[in-house]
Amino acid sequence: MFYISLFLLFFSTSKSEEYYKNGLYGEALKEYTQYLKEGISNPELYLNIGNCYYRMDKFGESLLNYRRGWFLSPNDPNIRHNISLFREQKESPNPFISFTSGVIDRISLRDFSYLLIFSFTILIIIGSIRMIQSVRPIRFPTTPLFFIIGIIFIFSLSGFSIWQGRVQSNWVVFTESTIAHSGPGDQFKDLMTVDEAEEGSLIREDGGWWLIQLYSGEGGWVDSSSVSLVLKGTEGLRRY
Amino acid sequence: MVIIFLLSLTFTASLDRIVVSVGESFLVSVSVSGEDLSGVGEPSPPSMDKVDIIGTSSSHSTQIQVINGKITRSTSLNYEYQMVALDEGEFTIPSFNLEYKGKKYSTEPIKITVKKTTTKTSIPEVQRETRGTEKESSKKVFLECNISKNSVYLGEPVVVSYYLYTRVNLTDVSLRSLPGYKGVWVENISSPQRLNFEQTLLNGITYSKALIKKDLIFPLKKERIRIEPLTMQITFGGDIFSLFGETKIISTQPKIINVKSFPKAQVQGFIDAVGKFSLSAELDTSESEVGTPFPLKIKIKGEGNLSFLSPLKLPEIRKLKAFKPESKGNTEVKENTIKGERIITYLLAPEEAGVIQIPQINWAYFDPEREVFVRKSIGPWIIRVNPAMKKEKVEKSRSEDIAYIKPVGNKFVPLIPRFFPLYLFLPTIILALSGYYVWERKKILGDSGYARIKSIPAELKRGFQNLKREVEENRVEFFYEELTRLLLKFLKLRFDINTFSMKRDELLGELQNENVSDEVLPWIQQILQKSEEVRFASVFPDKEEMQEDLRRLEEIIRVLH
Repeated sequence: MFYISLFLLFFSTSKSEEYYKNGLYGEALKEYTQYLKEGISNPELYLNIGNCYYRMDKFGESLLNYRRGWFLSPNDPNIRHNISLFREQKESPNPFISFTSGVIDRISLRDFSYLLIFSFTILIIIGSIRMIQSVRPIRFPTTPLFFIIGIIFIFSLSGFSIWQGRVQSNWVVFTESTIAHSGPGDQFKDLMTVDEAEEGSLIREDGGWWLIQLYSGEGGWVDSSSVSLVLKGTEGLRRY
Repeated sequence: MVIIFLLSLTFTASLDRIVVSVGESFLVSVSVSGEDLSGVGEPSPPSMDKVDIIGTSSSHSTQIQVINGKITRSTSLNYEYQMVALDEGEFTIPSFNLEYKGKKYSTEPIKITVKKTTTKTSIPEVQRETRGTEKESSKKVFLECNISKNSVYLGEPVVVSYYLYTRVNLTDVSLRSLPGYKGVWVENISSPQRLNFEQTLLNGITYSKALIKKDLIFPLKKERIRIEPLTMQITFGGDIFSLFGETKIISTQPKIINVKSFPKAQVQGFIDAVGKFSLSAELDTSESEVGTPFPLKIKIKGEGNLSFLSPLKLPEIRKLKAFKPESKGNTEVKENTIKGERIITYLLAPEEAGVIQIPQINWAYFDPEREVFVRKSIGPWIIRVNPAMKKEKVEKSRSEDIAYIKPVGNKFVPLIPRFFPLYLFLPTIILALSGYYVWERKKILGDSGYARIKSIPAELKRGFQNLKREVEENRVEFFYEELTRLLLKFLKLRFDINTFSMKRDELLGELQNENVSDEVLPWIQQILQKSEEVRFASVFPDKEEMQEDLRRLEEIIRVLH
């Protein structure tokens, strides 16, 4: 049964790729969306869904799915390239910060979690050995190892916190152009127009209106139908 | 004057003048006099449409006369009603009524003529002072409220000034309540922190006069405006003999301002601007792109109700979305009006590419001095709208093109490992176990008794394994040799005595000293004795007997450990 499922999946994958190659992006999108419903979730799938939307000129939906893929695999060169078509990566003038943030941006939350578990476990083991050394002579270089693993632990904790912050920030992408108001409703003052594929974070909800702060610093209340949360309602991107 | 004589009670009503202007206050005096006025109530004033009662006061006096040796005494109750006429024309103030000892008394109706108000922008200061203070001149200290106009148009400014007049030295002055305004926009002109008195002549009497407060008010609704009193507490008359002077509460009289309708039907573009203004507009660009808003700034400059001017209404413009305008004022109160400018910025966002015309915008204001509407207009403008830059950006990115699709596996990649908190918890178990080991190790090293007892189980385990093997192989001599060694080893570890160098009786005596129970001692003796028999008397117990001795040793250890 398992092999039959695998075979069917392989067959349908080929079919969606065939659709895409022949320019039938809507059909390909239907196939890929079906995989999501079946519980499949990986960066490649979100890349392909984003590509389908891109070819259909739905740039907001396209970026939304690239972002989902990016959250799962931030070092994927294809996803990075496609996102770079929408966003220019700003680099810090400080070379150390630039290098560190560059490294952190290429390691996923999942990988940071593994690194955190690994370094924490090793630190505990080193600490235990260090304790035992006080009652029984064991020849083991605990101090230099503790220092090295400690640096790895701090790095992984920092990376984990940064990514966790991104998850907690309720990252949103505008799937269509809309007007931001000063309050939750059309009756409030118009503040600005927000373009499709702009990104920001959800601050507060009030009925069908969301208070969004764009990453440029501006913000306002927008109709929730024009915005989508990157990490909500996505089977593959459950928080825990 | 109209007088009514009924029994011994006189009930009269009189006016201070019979011709007044609209909005001007006048006084109606009502007097009740008689020999015995005990239980007389207050007269009830008539209800009137065109006259408003804005204040009342009362006083009483007693007069005693001796005529031909006969003493007569009369008492008078005097009521003063301050009224204001709301409309021009001739009309009648109806009777005041009074009920006394079951009888009804009424005054005669009084005729009054109300003239139209002269529409001067301001009333000369001396004239206002004279008129407003006629009845105050006899007082030592009083407050006065002056208004520059009794009747104004909606949005037309009125100056309201409050003055303190005094003929005596004041030792203390404090504000009790400020005037309340309703339905008006208020701009404060002056509220001096210190009272600056200057000499002024009123009806031949010299007063010291000081400004308390000066406001500029603009009516916001077409309804009569009532200026509520300003109240102060004053103290005067203190000297070296009387430390504390006389303290009084004084108030201004309430004032009424009539708000007039505009003289004719309103013109197109008029919203609420009243004053004298000029209109100009500024459009920074003649070119834009779809979705990118550009500002249209409209500047209204001049004098009038600039502080609360409503923004101009833009006409519907096809293909152009107008956002709600932002209005900013740069104004100051000057020469009894507001002067400056108000800039209204409209953000206009093109919705389609092409050429868009913003049509002429008409606007009008009302000039209250000339009593006419003045029309103004700005525009039109032409804007060229280009397609959105974003499209170009996308086209550009398309030339670079997106990365191609990748084969999709059937794997599920979670955002974060499942049971992540559990993985973080598990290493703490290692730490806890290590901690326990270190704690026990330290105890063993520091406490020899504890170390001895802790080592018993390991020794016994090895010993019992050997004994079982000996029983199975039926090696009697080795079995009893090992049994004795194990017993002596256990007793040595348990009681810290050198069991191997002691004779049997010495050992039993030592154990007795250690309070070993009498139940166990015979078992120990029995095992030791049997071992000696096997070694020296060649006695060979069978397997069952060996197993029985093994169980006995187990029992000894269980009881003593």
